[in-house]
Amino acid sequence: MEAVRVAGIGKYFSSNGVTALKDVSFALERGEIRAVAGENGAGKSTLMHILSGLIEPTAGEIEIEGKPVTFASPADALSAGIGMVHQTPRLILDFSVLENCMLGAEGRGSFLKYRSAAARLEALISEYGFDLDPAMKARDLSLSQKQKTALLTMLYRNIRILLLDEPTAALAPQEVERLFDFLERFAASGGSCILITHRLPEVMRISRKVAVIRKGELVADVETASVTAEKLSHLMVGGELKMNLPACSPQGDTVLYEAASVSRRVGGRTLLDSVSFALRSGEVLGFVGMREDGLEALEGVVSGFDGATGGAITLSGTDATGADTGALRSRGARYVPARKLERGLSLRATVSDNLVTDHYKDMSSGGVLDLEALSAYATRLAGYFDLGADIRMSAHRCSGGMLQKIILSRELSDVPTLLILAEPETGLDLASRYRLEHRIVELRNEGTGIILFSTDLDEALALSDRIAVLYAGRIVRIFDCADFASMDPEIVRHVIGEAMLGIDGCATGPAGAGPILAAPAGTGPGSGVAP
Amino acid sequence: MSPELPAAKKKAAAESRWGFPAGLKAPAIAIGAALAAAMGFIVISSGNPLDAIGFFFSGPLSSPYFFGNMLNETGGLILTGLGVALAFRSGCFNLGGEGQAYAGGFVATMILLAEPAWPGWLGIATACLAAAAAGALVAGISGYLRARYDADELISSFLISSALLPVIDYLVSGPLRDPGSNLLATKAISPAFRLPSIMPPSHLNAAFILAIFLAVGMRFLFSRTVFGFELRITGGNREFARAQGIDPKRYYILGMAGSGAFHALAGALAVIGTYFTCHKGFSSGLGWNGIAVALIAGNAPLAVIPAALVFSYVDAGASSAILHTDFSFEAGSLIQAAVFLFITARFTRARFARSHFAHSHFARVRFGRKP
Repeated sequence: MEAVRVAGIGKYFSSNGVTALKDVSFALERGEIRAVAGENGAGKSTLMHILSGLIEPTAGEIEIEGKPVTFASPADALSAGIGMVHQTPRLILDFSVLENCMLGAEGRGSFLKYRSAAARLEALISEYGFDLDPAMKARDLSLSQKQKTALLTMLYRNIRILLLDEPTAALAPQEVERLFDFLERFAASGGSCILITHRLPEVMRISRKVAVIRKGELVADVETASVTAEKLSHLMVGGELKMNLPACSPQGDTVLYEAASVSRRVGGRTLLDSVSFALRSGEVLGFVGMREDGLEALEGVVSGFDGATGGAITLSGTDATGADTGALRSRGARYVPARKLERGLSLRATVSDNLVTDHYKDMSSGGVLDLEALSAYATRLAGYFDLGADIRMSAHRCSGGMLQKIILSRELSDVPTLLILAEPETGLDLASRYRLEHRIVELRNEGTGIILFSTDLDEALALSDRIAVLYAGRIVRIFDCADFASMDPEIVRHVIGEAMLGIDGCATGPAGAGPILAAPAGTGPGSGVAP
Repeated sequence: MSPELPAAKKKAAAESRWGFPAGLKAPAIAIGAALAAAMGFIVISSGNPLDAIGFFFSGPLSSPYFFGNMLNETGGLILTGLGVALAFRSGCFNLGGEGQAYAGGFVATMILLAEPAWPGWLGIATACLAAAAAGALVAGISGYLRARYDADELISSFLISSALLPVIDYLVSGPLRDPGSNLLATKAISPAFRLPSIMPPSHLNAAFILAIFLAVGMRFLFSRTVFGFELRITGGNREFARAQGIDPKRYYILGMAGSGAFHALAGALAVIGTYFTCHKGFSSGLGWNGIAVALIAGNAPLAVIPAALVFSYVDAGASSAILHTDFSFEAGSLIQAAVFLFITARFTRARFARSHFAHSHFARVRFGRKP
């Protein structure tokens, strides 16, 4: 029995003349998990938005369980049994898990029926084995709990077809496994699922069939078992890509950046507890962990956005404790923030303005800007990541991937002394990731010290010389990536993943002093304290 | 998916070259809807609707006197509209325009009533600058409170302005009132310190030309200067400005102070060019209508000029209909209220959609509502 069938779906945006989707047809069986892969702007999200009722297609038909449907709004889609869980779960933070589930599905009558709703929710939670308390406020949930809550809001409404947009983006490997277990159970009970993902190993792991979209067209819809990850990436970009970084060891031994016992406490909560590390020039130090386990707080302190409440920071041998973003920038630091919409750019300015915020002063005299020089400079930067957009258009018309390219083009244009990169690959397509990784190696070889913050373990492993794991506001481990070279990648992921979740027994001990890698490959000690 | 298409290009080009908002459609709809509502109201309330409508549209153009007065009002609205736009662009909302304009007119009057033995141009320049400084100070306080204590400048500027109005009312109708006049007003300023008239007998004077120049100047400031660039970036996204090493606090204070200066200048020029005295409540409406003008113009300095023209045309049209027909004063006010309502409704929606994007999107996702 087919759960969903789409035939000849097309979407033309008359506002900007873009054809986002062309003649896409496929069918999803009941109980099937389908992966949808494609580059940024390929049209994956447009397709999901059409299926979830957020936008209306300009051509084609949708059938749910054999019945033709048209969706004027997500409410229509939800009542037809199809619902979407977004990359960042959209919950009301002041509501409890239960209230979030009831929202929009309150039932008839003027009064809320808390008791029957709670019973229903409890049944769902125990059925799927979620570790969630329905009374908890969404504000207090961890990211993976928020995602589970978002899934529950769908289950609560008896959604039979789930659309998931990059659900694994911020999850530790173990949590990804749990999510996949859930999806398999959901599928086994007759539900169907469409999963958007950039991560090819996940496609191979979870999906029975995979659809590849390129430039708005469905270029492949095949059994996952019949293709390799290499073949898929080829289909996605339409060309071969090399993803292997040139091997390189840290350049020098001069310590560029040093944090000594840096702490941050806000309102009685300890966000960072005595974090110490040193970064040499020409080295990439990657921090991994959950955002709320100190990654976000450390990014704030290192970038100068938030002050440390204790400890000292030195940059290039001189004190930089309490230096704000402007002071760090003038000392040669550049910053690619994780929260790109808040800190990375202004949606109300043009693409061009966003590209030149680092250099407009150099292209002015007597307070008057040289618009031609600025425009030429912006055009040059736009070419670096193939922005492919008119730089005079407003940034709010850009897709997420394009916005990230704007930020990267600006911050990586010079050779900074210190580069702070937080989630740099978010939303980037394969070609841009390759360009970025290439540029990172280039900068590292020029002597730039790079501090990377990432919730994506694969990203951190691909880019870092050393990896520090943050848990509960402390550095629990620092791994030297050279030691991973001869190890099975799965074991590396497992070991780091355990540290990220604080379950390798060293979470409460002093940094780096816990038991060393229990690696069956026998590579011996892979961790060490900061130099 | 390349957005590099002719339509997008043309739009972006229009935006960057002329400073007009990309969507001229929306303000046109707002104004059209307001006029339609006004016509409907005239038809209902007037015994002779065709006459009323006729005078409404032709009145402002019927004689040099009415036409000149309309342009004179336009000049004042351009200045307050620019003031509001400057604050908006720096990410602030100046709701104290009424008090700032009144204070500007008052300060200018006080300086010129002292009758310094200066040439006329020097007296006028000094009065204007002193008024602008006073306005900058009054609004700058709100900017400072925002920068220093994160106190909402929308509230504080409104409160400070509301406190200023009765104080100045008291001064001009009490201690400083001209005893030889029936008006609740100060003495008249010396003819030496009056701006040259352009279209006598109307009130149109050199202030109108200055307003146009200032609009062009602000356009230059926004698009071509380091100051304007930093102000726009800060106004667009404060956190981002901070990340780029621009101090957002500086632009809260300067944006508000500049806005206050423009409002005060509008008040001062109304005294020096039109009224020649500071009478009670002379600037009433300048501040509020400036907000409407800035909103119609989408905060683009050059678009403020036609926006102010539309607004004063509606105003003059209503006055003309009142003068010649049974059209009531209240009906005139209602039409202006309708214009204001339609425009702010459009704007508030856009502002809401932008600043609360995630929430409105959320609302769509969860409830199927269009934001």
